[in-house]
Amino acid sequence: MQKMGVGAASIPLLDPLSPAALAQQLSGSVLNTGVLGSGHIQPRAKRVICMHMLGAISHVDTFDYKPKLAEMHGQDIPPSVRETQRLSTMSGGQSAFPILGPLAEFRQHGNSGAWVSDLLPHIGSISDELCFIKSVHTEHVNHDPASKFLHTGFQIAGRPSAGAWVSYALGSDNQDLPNFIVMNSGISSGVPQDSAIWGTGFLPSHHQGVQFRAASDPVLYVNDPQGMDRENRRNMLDAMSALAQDQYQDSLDAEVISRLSQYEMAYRMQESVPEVADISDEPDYILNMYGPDVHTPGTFARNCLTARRLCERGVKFQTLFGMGWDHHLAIRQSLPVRCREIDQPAAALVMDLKQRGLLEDTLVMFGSEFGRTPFAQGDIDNFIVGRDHHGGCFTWWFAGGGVKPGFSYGQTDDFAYNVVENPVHIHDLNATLMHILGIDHKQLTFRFQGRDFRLTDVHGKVISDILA
Amino acid sequence: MTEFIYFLGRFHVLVLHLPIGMLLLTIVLDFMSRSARHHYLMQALPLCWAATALSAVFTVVLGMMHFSEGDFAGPSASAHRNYGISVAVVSLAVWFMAAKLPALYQQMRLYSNVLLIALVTMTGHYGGNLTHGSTYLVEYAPQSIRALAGLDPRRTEVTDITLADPWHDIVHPMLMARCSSCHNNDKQSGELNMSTLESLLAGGKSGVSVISGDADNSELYLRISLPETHDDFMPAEGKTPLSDSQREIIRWWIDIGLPADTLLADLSLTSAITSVLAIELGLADSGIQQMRQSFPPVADETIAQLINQGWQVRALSRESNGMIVSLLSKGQPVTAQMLEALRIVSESLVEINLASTGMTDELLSLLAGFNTLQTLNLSNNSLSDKSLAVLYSMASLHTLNLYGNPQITDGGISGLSDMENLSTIYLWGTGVTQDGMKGLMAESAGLMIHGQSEMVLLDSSVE
Repeated sequence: MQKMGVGAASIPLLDPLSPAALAQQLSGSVLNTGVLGSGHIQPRAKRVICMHMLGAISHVDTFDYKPKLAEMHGQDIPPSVRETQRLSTMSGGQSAFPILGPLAEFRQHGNSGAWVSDLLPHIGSISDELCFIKSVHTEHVNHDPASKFLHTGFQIAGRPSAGAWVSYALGSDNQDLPNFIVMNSGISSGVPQDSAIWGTGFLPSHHQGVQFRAASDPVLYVNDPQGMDRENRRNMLDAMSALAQDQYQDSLDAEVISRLSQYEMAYRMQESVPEVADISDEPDYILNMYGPDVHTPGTFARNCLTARRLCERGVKFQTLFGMGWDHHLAIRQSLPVRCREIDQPAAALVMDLKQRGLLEDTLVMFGSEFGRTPFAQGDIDNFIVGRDHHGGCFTWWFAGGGVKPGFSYGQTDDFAYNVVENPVHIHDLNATLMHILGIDHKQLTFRFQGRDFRLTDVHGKVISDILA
Repeated sequence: MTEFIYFLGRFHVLVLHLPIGMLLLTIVLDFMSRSARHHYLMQALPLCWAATALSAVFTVVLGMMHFSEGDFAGPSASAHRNYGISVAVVSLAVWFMAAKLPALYQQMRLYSNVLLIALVTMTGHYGGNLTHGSTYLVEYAPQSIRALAGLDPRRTEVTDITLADPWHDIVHPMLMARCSSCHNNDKQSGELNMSTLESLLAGGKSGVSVISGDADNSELYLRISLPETHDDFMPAEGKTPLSDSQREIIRWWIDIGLPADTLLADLSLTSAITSVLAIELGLADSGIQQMRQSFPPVADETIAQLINQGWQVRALSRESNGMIVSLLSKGQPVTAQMLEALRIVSESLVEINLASTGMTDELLSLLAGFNTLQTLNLSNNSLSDKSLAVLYSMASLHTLNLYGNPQITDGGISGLSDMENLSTIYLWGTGVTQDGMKGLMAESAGLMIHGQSEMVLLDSSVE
């Protein structure tokens, strides 16, 4: 039973390319446990919910408390701190780099004494559940490469995203919903986002993230048209399967199977998706946890609630994008608004998972593609002052999934500009994410164009210090 | 200045290979030049001898610098020094003959060549004793050769853990493998010699090396357990460090009073240290095999049957026979037939997820005797107090999720306090009261009880 994990491979179901597997897939009884079946190592979590504040939330104003910045507000950041770190072209030409003090007071929370700013009071209040990683750093200073790097381990589109790798490796625990689901909320306001960051690259295409729309029916046209019942649909799919089987035997093209498995998935989603999207069975006190926005489809709050419902149904990987964090301008005005949108729902998601016993085997992650500069972009005295991109250090927090609760890892300098202790590279973050799911990031590879690819390329170190 | 001399001195171990190589080359050329065909090589000999002699002198100078560090004591060190100097002196003399007294050189060269090879061999031998320890060469030699070298017979391999000697079979070999290249009879870095128990106890420059019964204040344990990047970490200079389990063994050995010349059978051992010792002695299977062995393997056909019944089956990991099962299709009720199908694999089941499957008291009773279960999710079902007795006998259970079973009350959960391994329980949405949870908490030390999450909701207009 070596093989149970490898699993069910010997019950010829797991090799997605074998005709037997095709027959299985076509008959609708998919054993969806991925190419690994079981982890290389014992997993700490079975599922992931990744919350990405696209555009880059300011670590300086939220999680990385530096009293020195308030003291030195208006003075130039010392050149010895800034050194030669790459700046974006938006602030690179500035003649002065005056420090912009944090926009809100910080206070300590809980038994762990974590410092969180008053912009995020609910997240602060649950910080005993959270594991802060304050020393994350990336090589990129612009959104598109940094986001692709974060999700796919490479700055240019075309590599599989972490969610696709996980789907490929472990499949799902629910055959009626996609393995990997993506939800957006808010307006991107100029920050590029495209499906390559939840794409499948060279992996079979049914591993790509399925985007749920920011609306009350998350998947369009999932209902049968008038006059068409389930049985009709079934007959049509069976007939198509027979044709496809011939085509597959002829061409051996794996994409034939991918496409058919998507037809079958869509068939099953006709029942599963409306059930997930219908929140009428949620009691008021649960809805209140997520805040008033939860009643509006497409908000971050609603997506958090949907994420919990998908989590209960065993969906393996979810990415929730919160948009509108690129505060080059008017950070004083915009940041508090954005924070208010996500603060309560993000905290509620963690606590709601916890009371259901789901947090212990779900990894919740929260962060951005990079951080923001402690110095001002533009005129510091102008009311629409902002902060530029900063990849040198920024904060992520993890919760659940076998990470230490009420813990903080890594340190930055007094200016929240450079990592001074325990640096965590994006590849390390991804290696750790895979490790928590039981996958050895060095062993999960896919051969393409003559070489083996993996999510972390030739890098990545598991941050074992944060594991409980 | 002293440090700079030490710095140069350490190049001795690198440069010393030059005169050896040149000497061998020169002797080969000298030998070949005896034939008429290669007689012309004679012309190169003065130059070759010059290179040999000068590199030997250079090596001796670096050697004296290295020697001045003071770590080297004992007969091997002085023998190495004396032989080394004589190599330099003799090769200088031969160079002089080859260059100025060719007739004499012709007469003497056979004897001088043999002499130089002998001297270099002796120098190298004693030098090797300094860096590798004098027993390095014959460590794996046949017992007869070891006897010739004046060494104790090699200890016979331990095949029964109870017959192992804590010092001679366990700790001493570890120290010999990792530490003895710098702490031996001939080289004593920090004035510490680890070749015998007596010399180890004598300590070194920093004082006593081990305090019997107190590993945490023993220099030996402290130095091997520092972060590897620390200046004082041992073994120094990037040599292979001891493994975590070796550190643990040394800690154990110091804490129980440095036992030697005794048997493990005569010591009282915890099961934890026994398994570490067994692995160190090569008498135990690795952890992976232990884990695999702790659950019986399940045949592929059996797994296929479970899948056909509607179960999703995963292994705990690819290295384990332990199994996690949940329903393939979420939201479908579980049947008695499905649960009965699990019985055949019950000894390998580690986790069952039965959330929202319509579990009833009757169905739960089908899980009686599933004693290897560690995690059981029964949330959102209609179980009552009656059925919980089935759980009491699940000796391995550490996580139990009962959330969303309103008929479970204080009376039902009070019986769970006897479950020794239970560490986490979820009780939100049950009929259990706050008092009931407090009562259970008081009865069972270390049990984490999760009720409804408390979250302070702030007025969203507050900034």
